Amino acid sequence: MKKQTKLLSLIAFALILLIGACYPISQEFVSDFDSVYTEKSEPDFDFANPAIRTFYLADTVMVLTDPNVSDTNLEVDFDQILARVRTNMNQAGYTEISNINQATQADYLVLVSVNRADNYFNTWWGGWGGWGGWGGWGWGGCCFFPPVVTTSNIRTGSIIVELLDGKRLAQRNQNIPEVWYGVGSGLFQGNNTNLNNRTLRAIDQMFIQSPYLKR
Amino acid sequence: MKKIFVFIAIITFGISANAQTNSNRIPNFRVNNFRVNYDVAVPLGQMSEDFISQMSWRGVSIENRWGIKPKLSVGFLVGWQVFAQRVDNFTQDLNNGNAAINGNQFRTINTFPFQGTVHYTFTEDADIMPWVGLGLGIAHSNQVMQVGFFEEQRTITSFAMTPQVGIDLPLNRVTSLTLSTRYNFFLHSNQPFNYSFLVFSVGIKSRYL
Repeated sequence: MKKQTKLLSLIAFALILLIGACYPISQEFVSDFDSVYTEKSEPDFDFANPAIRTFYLADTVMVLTDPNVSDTNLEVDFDQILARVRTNMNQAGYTEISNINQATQADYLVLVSVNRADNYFNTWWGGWGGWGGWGGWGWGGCCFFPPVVTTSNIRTGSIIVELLDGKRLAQRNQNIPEVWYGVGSGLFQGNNTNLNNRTLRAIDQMFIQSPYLKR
Repeated sequence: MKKIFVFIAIITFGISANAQTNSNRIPNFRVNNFRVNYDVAVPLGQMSEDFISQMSWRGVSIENRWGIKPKLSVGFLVGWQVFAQRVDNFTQDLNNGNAAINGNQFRTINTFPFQGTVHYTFTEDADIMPWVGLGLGIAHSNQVMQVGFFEEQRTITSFAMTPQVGIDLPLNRVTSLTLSTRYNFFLHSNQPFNYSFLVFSVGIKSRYL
């Protein structure tokens, strides 16, 4: 009978060990950290307005990376990025105005920017023996482990596509109201092809999840 | 997961082998009992439609029941159930459709019920002892949704109601194997959905004076 009670506590203990996982699933691949966020920055803007037909795509991808903090090598092909934004705008039913002199007549101004951020952080492991009190109890002397500091770098990248309301084009050097933006973000990790593909996928996804942009 | 089944199988066979060799079961005068259960759960209703539909293989509960009448007992149950599901390429609407986020989602619910229970056993001694019961109490839950670098975490305290049925299979005068099913309904306000899930549990019951 005592055996049974013992068995019971053994089972309880084993179950707790076997099941001891609060978060049994987590990100496995680099692409699991990819996400695409889109937002109407001006929710009252009438995206369905049939008068909106044309767009002008800024011919330069802006690099937002702070050179003092991060490596500015983006490793992605900017021409492909612009081409993909153009394709998506065309597929959504807009006509491109490619002549820069007529850019002010466009209904949407499209801006594309990219960012890379190197996030350095330190993890600190305090080591043993720091309590001091143990020394007098016979533990000290032999077993002091020095604290360890590890520096890690989580590199992230993002691509931002913005639609500005061309009809409210303000005076020179003033702000143009932004009506929509999409941000694709993920880990800046992998070879060029991989980074390119994930970036282009993010651009496609921005338009997929914003059906109200369709003409 | 296989490990758990093998483990339970070994325990079960071990006990039944033991029961066969010395069949010393006598009328069960001890009505206080302690139980340890392994629980699996199936999400139902809105919980399954909106968040996690995958079955949970991770659950454990402990129970104690004190006999107040030969067939009636009161007690408590403390449990832990972990639900988790990965949903690839999911687009979630935010902010009344003014925003959306797409990515691979990692959804987890850790839920801990703490309940007072009442049980009624139909027979005082038989080879199969069926019972019905009801648990009332609270449940503390931690609901997490991760997508990309973002995480939404909700800590939820809910009213927990759990009707349950089960059978005890006495193996000897002290120990029984128990199979039961509990319908968990966790009600909480200001949250997108209530939890409802069906738990199937296999456990060991030990009687004491």
